[in-house]
Amino acid sequence: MINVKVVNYGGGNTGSLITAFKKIDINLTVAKHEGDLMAADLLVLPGVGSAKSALASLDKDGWLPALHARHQAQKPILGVCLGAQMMFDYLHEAQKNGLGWLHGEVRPFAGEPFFNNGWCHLEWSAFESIGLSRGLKPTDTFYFNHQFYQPVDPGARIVAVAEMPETPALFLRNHLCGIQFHPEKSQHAGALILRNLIANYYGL
Amino acid sequence: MAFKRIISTLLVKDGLVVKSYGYRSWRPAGNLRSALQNLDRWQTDEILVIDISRRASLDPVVLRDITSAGISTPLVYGGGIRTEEDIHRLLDVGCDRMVLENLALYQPERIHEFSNLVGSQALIGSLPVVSTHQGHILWQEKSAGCSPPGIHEILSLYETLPVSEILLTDATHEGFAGKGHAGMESCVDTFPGSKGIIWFGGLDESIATRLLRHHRTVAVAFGNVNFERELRVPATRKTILEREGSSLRRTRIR
Repeated sequence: MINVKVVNYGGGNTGSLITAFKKIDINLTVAKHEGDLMAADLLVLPGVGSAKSALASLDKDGWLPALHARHQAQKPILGVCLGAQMMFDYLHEAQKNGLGWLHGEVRPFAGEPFFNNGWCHLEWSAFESIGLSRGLKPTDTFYFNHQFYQPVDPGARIVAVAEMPETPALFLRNHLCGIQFHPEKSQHAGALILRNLIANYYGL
Repeated sequence: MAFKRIISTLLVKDGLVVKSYGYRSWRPAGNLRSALQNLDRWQTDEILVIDISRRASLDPVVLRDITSAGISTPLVYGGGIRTEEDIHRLLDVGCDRMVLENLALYQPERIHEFSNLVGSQALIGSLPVVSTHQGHILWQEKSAGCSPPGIHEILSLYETLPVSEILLTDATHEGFAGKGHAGMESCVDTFPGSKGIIWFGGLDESIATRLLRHHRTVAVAFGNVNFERELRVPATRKTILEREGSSLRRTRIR
């Protein structure tokens, strides 16, 4: 049985993630101490939250050294929504530096306050040759809920983009995976993505 | 833009799902856990749970049922959210977004605090409206003790607050399918706002189809009709898709 942990930084939707992983027969549990972060086969940084609060919480609760150590060791880390956005250099929302594992600034959508709330199609890129979309249909949709979007890190492979607004939806860079939508709340299609990611990309 | 959504609403009173009629009378309609699991299986776009019990704190029975339902459909919760601790508890049990009710009027600073915690994309402002000879005005308890503001005043307030969408409820006709939202679109049209509207209260397929064509609409929400018969939710989706297909996603029920 693989060991998957989620970091609870206070604003994350850990309950939804635990349920989603249970549906694919994986026991996701909340990390209790720093040692859990390095021991896990896969670490999940959850979404839902404000960047400022999440970054402050990671710092205050002492998770940052262990997170950076895991990244340095190139062990699998999955970021969902805000969890993926925190991997970048800078977050406009928080006016603060992120974890700095990927280059670029997470920005708000242009124009008046704009939210991408709801279900969108994905367009898969040529990088999708590892079976992340196996079992999915072109008509399948995925649940997004965000006001800020990820930049494109020069070293990352953008595997899927949301159709409208056209923004990165799923990227990979070595041991890092970032998902802008919420696979844990995307019903059957989301469960397929999680299962494919863990089996076909991370090989767990 | 994301597809427009068809939301299934569950009103909860004292831990049980109820069919509500204008928020004045109720009939039991089963337990929350089963209702959530049915809606999840039918792949509704989003589920809105509103606790109308007017409790002093979140109902642990409701939270327990949400947890044990184990759904993978986006879940919005409204009813009695007052503190940051409430927000944490709701996220922990699997809620994704929250509907904030009277806070906008009486404690708008709390909405800023909640936004700093979870982000404004997770917050929805509530606007329950009743129709009177004065026009469409905010529905309030009589004990509120002041004359209720009009629909434009609250829409204006929400434009300044960190909420992503507005839940506009026709409280007069809530529970009476086919009666809701007469004249409210034109009322919204005369106010130059930008936030998306979720329409709830007294919808049927025809009204929902009409409202989905409105430029501010992001979702329509059905309540009592969800319980009229088995598989009513996918049947409603099919009917609306036939009339207004391009703006809605297609699902494949397993």
